[in-house]
Amino acid sequence: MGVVAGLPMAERADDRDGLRLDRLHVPLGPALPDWPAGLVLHLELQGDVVQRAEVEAVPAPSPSGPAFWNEPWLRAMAGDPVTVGEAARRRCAAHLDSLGRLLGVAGWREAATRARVARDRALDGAPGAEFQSLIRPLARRVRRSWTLRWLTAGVGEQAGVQPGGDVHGRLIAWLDGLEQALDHVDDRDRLTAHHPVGPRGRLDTQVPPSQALLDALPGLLEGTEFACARLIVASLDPDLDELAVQHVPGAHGHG
Amino acid sequence: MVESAPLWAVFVLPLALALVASAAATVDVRSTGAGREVLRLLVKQRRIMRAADVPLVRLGTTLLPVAAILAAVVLPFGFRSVSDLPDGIVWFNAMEALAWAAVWLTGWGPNSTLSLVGGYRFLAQGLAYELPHMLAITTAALGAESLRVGAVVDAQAGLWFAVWMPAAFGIYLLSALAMAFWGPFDQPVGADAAGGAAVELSGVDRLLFLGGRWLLLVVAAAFAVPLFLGGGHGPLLPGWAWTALKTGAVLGLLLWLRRRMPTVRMERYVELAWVILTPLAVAQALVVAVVVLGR
Repeated sequence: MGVVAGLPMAERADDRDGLRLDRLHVPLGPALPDWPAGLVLHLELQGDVVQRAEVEAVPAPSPSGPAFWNEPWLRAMAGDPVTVGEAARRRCAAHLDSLGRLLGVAGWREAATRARVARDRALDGAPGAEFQSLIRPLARRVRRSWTLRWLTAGVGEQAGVQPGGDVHGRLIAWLDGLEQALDHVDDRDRLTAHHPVGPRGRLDTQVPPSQALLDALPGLLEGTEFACARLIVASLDPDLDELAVQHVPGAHGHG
Repeated sequence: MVESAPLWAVFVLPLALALVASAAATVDVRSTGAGREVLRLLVKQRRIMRAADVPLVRLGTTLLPVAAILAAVVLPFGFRSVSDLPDGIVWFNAMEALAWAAVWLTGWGPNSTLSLVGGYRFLAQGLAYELPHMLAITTAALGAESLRVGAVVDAQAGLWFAVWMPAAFGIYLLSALAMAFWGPFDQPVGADAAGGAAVELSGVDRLLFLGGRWLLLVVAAAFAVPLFLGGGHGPLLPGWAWTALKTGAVLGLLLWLRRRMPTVRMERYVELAWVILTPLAVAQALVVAVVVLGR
């Protein structure tokens, strides 16, 4: 490999159209705007088409507590008293956080800001009625946006996940989860620890739900254009805290 | 008839454009004014990537505001423009295409992947929007039977072109956003590529580039007025007031659009542009041609 000014030259390789083009090796992450913190993707780019993607998770420094977005369910599993409302609130905030990131990557800054404001209000412990009035119009607008549907439908389609296993489908799934959880934010009942489901999936299995999201990434990214790749990463939104937290005492309390 | 403005207008034009652009930027950002950002960029030190092609970057960033101001030369304010060239519409289109070179050079020069991606994106964007765009402005010229901007304004003394060429007007508005790579068409400087073509720019370079983009947006929006909205024609008020009002309305519409829409990716827009917008623009030109032949 030649070196120019101390930097490696791009090597050429065949591309999908039968041409030989420069192949750039580009790491994305661990910190980028609207990027899952700690995720590193090693990309091979030709032009702005991803030819190959490799996932590396930067190990989190020893965590001080359970994964933030899964905390209510993990605490319930450890036997702490947690209300349904508290868990619903956290689920709302988690989905709004993901939504803010996806809308940011999709270039809809105004809606992304609204999602983030609603997320912060949900975490602040604002009265349910107040952040319901923030979330419902936002969810309606995002659902109804035909430009957003046009731009995200069919991107990052997962084989076997039907219907709507694409970026838009995952977005709608967040909105569904969000609106369901919204009805329970003022519920004072105790959260049961049987089959806990966090914002990203089942928590009582050996493998954290985000691991499945990370495993799906390379296959979905190969052959996509750069902007689509960013959308796919944002729509899966793996939470790397989940990978680190397996060894935290308390998270193991439930068999 | 559009008259040539006195010589001092040459010096006033860039200032006036900069004023309108900074006003639009202030309205758009709301909280922090554009003025503070300009001052911050002016005093900030420029940094540059290793093995960057500095002359290309400087050329690209400077070319953008220059292209915008040159395009504005044929823009009539009321019934006066700095120069009412006999083929002003071609001049406008050529100057606006200079922006392609500007963004591409700015993306290529810094020797950085994300800025290169931004540069590529603007070329793809150009290929997507330019064809229907050129057909749309040609339609206006066809309706007036002249490439002179003044003649296009005169031809709308009775009826605005926007009324009987709605498709061309709509396509022009879309391409006005796209040529200034702004709002839903900001993919070349998209946040997902950490700022795309502009990612490595700092200090004065950044000011010239992003300021130039605002100038381009204002010029593109303002050009819709002589092309489709009757220029300075209107009841009661003087011509300059009508131009200012209509330009403000078009700018307001473009600012609003950005709040309502996510970024349009070019691989999707190419399809729309070539399969729907281009045939639509051709059909519109045909209708106008038949009307012109018949009168």
